[in-house]
Amino acid sequence: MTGRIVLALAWLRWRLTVNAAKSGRNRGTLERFSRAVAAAAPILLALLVIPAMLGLTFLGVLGGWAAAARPEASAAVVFIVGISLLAPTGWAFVRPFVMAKQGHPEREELLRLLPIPARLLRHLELVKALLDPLFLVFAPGVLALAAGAALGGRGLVTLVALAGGVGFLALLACLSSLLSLASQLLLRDRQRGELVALVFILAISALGFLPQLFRSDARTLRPPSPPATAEGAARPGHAGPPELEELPLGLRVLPSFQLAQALAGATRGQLAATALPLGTLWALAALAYGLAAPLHRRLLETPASSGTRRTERVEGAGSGSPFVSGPVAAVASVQLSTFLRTVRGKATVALPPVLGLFMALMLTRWNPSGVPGFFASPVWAPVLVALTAVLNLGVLTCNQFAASGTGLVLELLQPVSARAMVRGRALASALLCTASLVVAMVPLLLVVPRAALPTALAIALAGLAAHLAVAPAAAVVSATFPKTVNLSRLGQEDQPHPLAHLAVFALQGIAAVPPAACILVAQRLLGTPWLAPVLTAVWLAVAGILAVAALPLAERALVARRENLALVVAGR
Amino acid sequence: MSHAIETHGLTRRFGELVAVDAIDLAVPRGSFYGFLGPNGAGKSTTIKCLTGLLRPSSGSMRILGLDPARDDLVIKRQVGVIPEEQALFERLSAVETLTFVARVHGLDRATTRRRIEELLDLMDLGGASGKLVADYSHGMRKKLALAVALLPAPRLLFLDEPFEGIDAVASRQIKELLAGFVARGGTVFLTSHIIEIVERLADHIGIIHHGKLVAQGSLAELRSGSKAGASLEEIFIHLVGGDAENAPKLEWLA
Repeated sequence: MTGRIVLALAWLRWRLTVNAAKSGRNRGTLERFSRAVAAAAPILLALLVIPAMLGLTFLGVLGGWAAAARPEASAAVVFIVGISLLAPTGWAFVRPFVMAKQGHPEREELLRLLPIPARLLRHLELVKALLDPLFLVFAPGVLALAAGAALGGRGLVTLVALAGGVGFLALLACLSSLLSLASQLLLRDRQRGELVALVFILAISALGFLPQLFRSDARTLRPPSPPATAEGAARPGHAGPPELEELPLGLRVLPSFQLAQALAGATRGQLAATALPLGTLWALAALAYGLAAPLHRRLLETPASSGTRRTERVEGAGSGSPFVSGPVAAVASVQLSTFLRTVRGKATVALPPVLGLFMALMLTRWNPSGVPGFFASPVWAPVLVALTAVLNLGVLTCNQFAASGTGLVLELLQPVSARAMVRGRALASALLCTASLVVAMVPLLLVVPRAALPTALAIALAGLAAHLAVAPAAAVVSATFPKTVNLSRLGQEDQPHPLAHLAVFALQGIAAVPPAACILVAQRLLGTPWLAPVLTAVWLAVAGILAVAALPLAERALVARRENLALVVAGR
Repeated sequence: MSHAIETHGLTRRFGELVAVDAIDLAVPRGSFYGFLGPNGAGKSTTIKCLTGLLRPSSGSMRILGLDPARDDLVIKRQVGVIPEEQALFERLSAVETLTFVARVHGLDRATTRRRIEELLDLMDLGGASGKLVADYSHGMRKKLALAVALLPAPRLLFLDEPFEGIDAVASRQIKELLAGFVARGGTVFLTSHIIEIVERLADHIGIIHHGKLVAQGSLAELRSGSKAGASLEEIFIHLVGGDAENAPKLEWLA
């Protein structure tokens, strides 16, 4: 029976993939083209997986052979094995969370209603983990180590490479499956899930800065200098990779280095040094497998909950403001509310300030001596923050209509003109950009050296100018290439149409040229740093006027594509 | 008699498929018009054309005496719609959704507050008015969609399966409310698969089948063309060609 169910599930997966490519046959040429491009992305990814898999398999054979047949190279091989397998190891921890946020709960629900044993459903999680593209790329390479070692003619190394490789892959699959079930439990409460997703995004973004920030060496930006100690100089044979025992404990306990340590022990013929890491790999795999069962039972047997938001105050209708009409203000207000209640929205607004804070902390410990090029000046920090703010908002603005989901249909049914829909969205995104830049730049402006203050200020204005300049084109692009998104999910589901994203990204690059020129002219040609923010402010005003003048183009695009938009957000 | 909705040769194609095929609707003002048809007959596509979500491929129409191509916004100010698919912002609460609709209709603060409170009470959504729509059940979403349609006090209501997923108590209240709305001169254009509801509420019926309007008129007119005492269900099945006798009996089903 199990085989029949597995075949049925494989067939289901296949039909879902094929039918996804078939959708939209009765739609306009542009929409068919748009869907074809969106469908091509995963196919391109699949085409990339095959050569990568073959390449790593070859390297695996080569590495296994070198470890077995070339004792002088074995230390390097095991080190490379440990380092390179950090990627699938890290992904085993991250993947479950990402997948849980981008899964299809309704499909899972249907599977649970069918007569499929719970044990089989649990094992499906294992299969899903093993079929993940990143694991598929690395798995043959890991197993090829044993084949290479066999070619090298060392029986113990071959055996350990095989047992270790299988154990490593089993551990990653079991761990990924366990964490996947835990993530599903954690994230099925909408509010809790969104909070966790936000923390996850911010944590991942901040991860790169933490080591720099907490280094005992205060010269955070200085590139690491080579060891010049007498001890280092006295070890001529130590130019290669470090010994595994010298690595930090946090790294050595990871599965990839457990495998590396087992291999190292085998190449040295030390059975005891091999048994411990091998045993650890298999014991952890068994533990993760065993823990998955009760977790899966809990997932099946307990109901999902949903969060509540207690803001029951009945608000009256505002009549707009002196600067914008009632409908424009209403659209802008709804856009701000709905966007800021999504994970992507919160992350877009929170990320630049978090980044700004980190950068500000780093700048307080910053020592420019010995730092080359652009990074010798403190202005790199505001540049990075402004880029983050503008690029993140670009992801929203390039899909601004479809991102409203079925709320867009509500708008289309109301007496809201295309003008109000476009201008309301432009106003909302401009407010978000301004708020995000202001909050992010304040800590930076407080800590940058006085000489860099005008440039930092000009960069903030330049970011806003670039955002405004692109606003009309972003609206046109989002009307032309809409994609249904869920901005509270991660992965592909919160991403706009690739063409829309690419177009807005390119336009943002072009829009950054004039304000950058203003800054360069003021500083380099005229030698008057305080002229930079003045010139950029003038350009900001010009960009704003040009944007408002160009908005009718976006309004026409919306009118022309409104029917398609309504169909897309309705899932047609 | 002037018509709230009037179409001539209204057609909508999707590629090769003709979803709505040259239909001539005539919905009198102040009538409760039940628009019936089997699944996939073209009911929702017709409503989408009438409410401006889809452009007709050909034909003309007038809504409340106005041309939708010219007076789109004027019509929308007088029309309330429950579309086939959900049309709500997932990340707004019920109060925020209704406030948005009130704002774009230009309702003043006091009117908005009063109407929202009454509608939420009627729909029994008062206790959940602060919850996001994302956390609503299907029935709650439907009720909110109805509240959205009613809030601006429209003269014409397009209701696509409004009772689907709504509990019996709310359903009864809504039926009474709609009957009162028509009695006061409003017009309702309703599609439903529950023929008993249509038979009880509607005074005019249109039946669409394979995109064509196969019957239209008052309930009495439709009955006069059928055998004496025929129910609306019998008339409907007769017109759309349902053949209960020859349908598979699924005798393998215990």
